[in-house]
Amino acid sequence: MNRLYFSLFFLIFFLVLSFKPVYADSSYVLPYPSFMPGNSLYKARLLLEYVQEFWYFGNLSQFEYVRKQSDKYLVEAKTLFEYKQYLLGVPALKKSDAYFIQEETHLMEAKKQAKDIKQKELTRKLQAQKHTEVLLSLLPLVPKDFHWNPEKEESTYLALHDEIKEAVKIRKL
Amino acid sequence: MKLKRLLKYGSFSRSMKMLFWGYGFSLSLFSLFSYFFIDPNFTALRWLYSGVYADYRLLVSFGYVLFIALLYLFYVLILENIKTQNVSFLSLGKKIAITASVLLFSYPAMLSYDLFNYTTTAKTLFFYKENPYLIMPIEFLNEPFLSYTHAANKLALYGPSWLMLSGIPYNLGFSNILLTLFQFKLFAALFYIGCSYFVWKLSDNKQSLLLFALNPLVLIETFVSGHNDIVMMFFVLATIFLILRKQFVIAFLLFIISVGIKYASIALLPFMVFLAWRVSKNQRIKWKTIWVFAAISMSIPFLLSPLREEVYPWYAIWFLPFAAMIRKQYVKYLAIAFTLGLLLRYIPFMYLGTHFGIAPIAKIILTVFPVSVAALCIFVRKRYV
Repeated sequence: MNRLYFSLFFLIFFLVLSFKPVYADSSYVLPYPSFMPGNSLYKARLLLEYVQEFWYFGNLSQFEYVRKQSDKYLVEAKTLFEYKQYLLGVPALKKSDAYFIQEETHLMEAKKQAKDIKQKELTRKLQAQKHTEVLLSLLPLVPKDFHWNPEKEESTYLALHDEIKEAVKIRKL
Repeated sequence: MKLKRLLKYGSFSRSMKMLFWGYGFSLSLFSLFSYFFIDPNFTALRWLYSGVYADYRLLVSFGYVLFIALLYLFYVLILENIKTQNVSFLSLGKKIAITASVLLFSYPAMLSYDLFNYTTTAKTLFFYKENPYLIMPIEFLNEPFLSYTHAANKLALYGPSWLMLSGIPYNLGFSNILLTLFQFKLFAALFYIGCSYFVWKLSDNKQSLLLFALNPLVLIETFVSGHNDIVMMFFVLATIFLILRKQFVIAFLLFIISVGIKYASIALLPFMVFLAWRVSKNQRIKWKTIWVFAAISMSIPFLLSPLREEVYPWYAIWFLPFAAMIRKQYVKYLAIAFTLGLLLRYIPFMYLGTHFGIAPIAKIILTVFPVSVAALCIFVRKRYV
């Protein structure tokens, strides 16, 4: 009997341990990384994004535009952080944050004009979850802070963990 | 000299007047008949909803066949009798316009819901100020058009030229759905007049003008359903007209507008280049060959259309103006039979109420049957008579 209890306890213990803790796991899909800063086509990408902003006119379209931009720059920041390009990664993350904040403005304007924003709000929630998931996964990969001391220029201090935590805070809906 | 010829007054014979009157009367009855097809969700005309279309499918289908037969009878008789008439183009044009205009007051979604889609897309762009290539109409909460538009969950299908042009009838509709629908029909009617004008100018032949302008398919698809194919073809014909006048830059711009309406006219690009080259070199133009070239070019997207969805009857407007100008008897009869077959394609859905089951095969049989009979008759006549 004791053996049975022991086996059962062991089985439950094993099953509990085998569950991987999942934080904010969402079905939202982020895009592949595009051209990175330093690539000769990066400026062309920026130009294209600028032109695209005009194509995405209207509140709902603008929401789609800023949502895609926020995703794109988050992926860019993640890739740059993974390659330890912190100086370039932080501005990309800030861009992603800025676009994410803009999403709500466009949605509220659309709501005022009696446009159906339910689906968009749901997408935004999923997006926030996914972004949070990606941002939290970056924390163990990057140093807490980073000093950049070029030879003939002023040094730069980056509080990387604070930047990431701030980005996570922005995405709390 | 040309103006003199244009204004030269001649009167129609009594029989011809009767034929035009009969055609116009049949079209008026067809307009009334179209109100049997009112969608129960179309609130603006709910008071006219009878449910006949849904409850008496056999009767309605039979009525439709009868009307089509009657329209084609008058159409063929007018075509056969026009040769003997000594009338000016102006009086002929007046007769055509009066005859066709009775269809302006028909119910627009009798055979296709495209006019509703046009207004919905225009509203997305001009009222909600959203890009219809990115935002579907279904995203506008409590919007009345959602109850009767059949493509509310689709992005804009047509080109940018059409989107911009559709702003004219949409804004002239002053947010009233009935007025907007009428404006769209009127808009299509204006381009129909333009197309007929160019067919006359390019062919200088009354038969060609009548073959195109009085064709029941052209009239129904333009004046009842208000399809934008007539707008696309107007710009195509205007391009050819301007190429002949050596105004190549404007012609090129008009051709771009035409392609930007429904894309199908891109098939005419080699034709346009060839024509412009011949004209610029002052080379003699063999008109019959030219119109055959154009008709075949526009038949290519028509024949390829099943790859996307299916052959829709109004696509015949793409090649019909050119077929009308070929001036060959057998082409004339084949064109008449083919357009008749295309109009018969509506019957399976009308009767069965579904696009599935035997409907697709029935559509093919009904389309092919008249043209096969016409081809057989032409063959027998050429061989044995």
